Amino acid sequence: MSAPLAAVRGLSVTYRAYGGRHIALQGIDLDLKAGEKLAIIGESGSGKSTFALALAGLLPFEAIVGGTVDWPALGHRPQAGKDIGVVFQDPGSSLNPVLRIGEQVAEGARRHLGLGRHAARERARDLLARVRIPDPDAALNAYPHQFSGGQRQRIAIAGAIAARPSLLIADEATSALDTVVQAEIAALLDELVREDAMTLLFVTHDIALAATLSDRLAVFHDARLVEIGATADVIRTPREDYTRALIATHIDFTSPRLVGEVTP
Amino acid sequence: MTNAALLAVRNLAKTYQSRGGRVTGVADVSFDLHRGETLGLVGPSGSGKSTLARVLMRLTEPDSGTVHLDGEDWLALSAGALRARRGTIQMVFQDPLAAFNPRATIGGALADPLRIHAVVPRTERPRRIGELLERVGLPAALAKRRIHEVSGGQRQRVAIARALATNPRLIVLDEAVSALDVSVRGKILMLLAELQAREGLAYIFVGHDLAVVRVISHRVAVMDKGRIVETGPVTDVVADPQSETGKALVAATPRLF
Repeated sequence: MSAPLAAVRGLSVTYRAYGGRHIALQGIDLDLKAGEKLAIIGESGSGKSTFALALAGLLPFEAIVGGTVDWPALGHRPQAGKDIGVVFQDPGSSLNPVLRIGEQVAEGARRHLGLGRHAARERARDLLARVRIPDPDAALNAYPHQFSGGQRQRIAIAGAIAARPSLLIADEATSALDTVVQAEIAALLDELVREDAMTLLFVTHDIALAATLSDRLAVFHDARLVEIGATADVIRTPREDYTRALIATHIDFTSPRLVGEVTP
Repeated sequence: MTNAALLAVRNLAKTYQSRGGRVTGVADVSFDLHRGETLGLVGPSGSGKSTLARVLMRLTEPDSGTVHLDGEDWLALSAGALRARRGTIQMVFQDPLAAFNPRATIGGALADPLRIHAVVPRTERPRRIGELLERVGLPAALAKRRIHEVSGGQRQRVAIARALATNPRLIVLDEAVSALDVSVRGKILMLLAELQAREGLAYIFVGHDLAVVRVISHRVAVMDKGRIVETGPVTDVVADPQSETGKALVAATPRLF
């Protein structure tokens, strides 16, 4: 077996809050395999987003971190933006409203790939075409507010992969989008990760969405890793009660209806 | 059946002015809603779901069309008559924390509608607040706690209790369970179904997740670009959608197995 991209051992994260301490993650052991699509699922407060931030090196400075994260396949400590691209839930908060799209998408290519202004702009246009922004040439000179939420998320993804990262982290990246756009963005992430041989860490509260997009599934609850395994195994034969409960409370087209068939 | 409808909406239209010209909010929307019935409202972002909800709440005046509530012309009500009748239609939003004054106690949040709509005399209020909390499955003692001290699920129960305070006939639930954890979401859906069965409430359930809309709704209206492009019993629409929008929604809903 090849070296994992990230080897997480005994990872704990604690925040100071109101004089007390809040444990956000406790004793996480996990290998992120190079080239895999790993979904992290959990409810609010499970620690799933803290885990994503910890891997990306984006924890707030007041966080107290224990344990280790090594990067055997990378061979060095990763640099956020270069080795790791991150896409958040709200593209409005990752895009600068007063900067043209071209400058924002090109920034990673200029800073981390050392491209000149012209070459970086070319790369930005290619990236916008890859994430299927219509008329990428015109989009380079446009501003974020001129695009829909789904298109803004495509632009944020283009910026996140601009420096050819080995790891793409999507933290609830489709949660604010409507169902049809969500499915399109999930398919786009899948395609980009496959084409560029990236590793994907897909953080979501939606177990069904996680199931459609991942090779392996890690279930977080109350700051701990409850179980991890091949996605199909975790869903069909969950080992832990918590995972069973998550699956049982999931609502899909086969769930029992709560109201009568016809109007009373 | 039309005479018996609690809510009869006919040919509702609303456009907004923007720099690029006029933008369609809703166009030619018509439907009936009966007592004890839930109409699910689904569609992509910008399809007109929220505009429709705002028009029904009379937060936005439509360009044309009619709305009758219990046979009465809802859009023709004068400001004074509307104030007296506003409590007939209530709304519950996605984020209960944003829907409350964070410093208020739960009892205070429930006392406001009772006072503003003069539902019960002042001396009756504490007892009524206790009843409202019990109707949504919360202990009456919770009235003394502050909104930010209780969990997200409890907070959404308080939002439902506040909506119930004015004895509404119809509650518009705008993504009301979308922000809740799955373990809590099912319990809130159960509460809504129980309240409806017991009290004959009608709901308009605005949602992005067709699977969730299916478990709580009798009928569903699929909206796109301001229009209702498909409507029918929710089980029929999910099993065999006729419109392109309906087909896309069914296909895009992620499946666990």
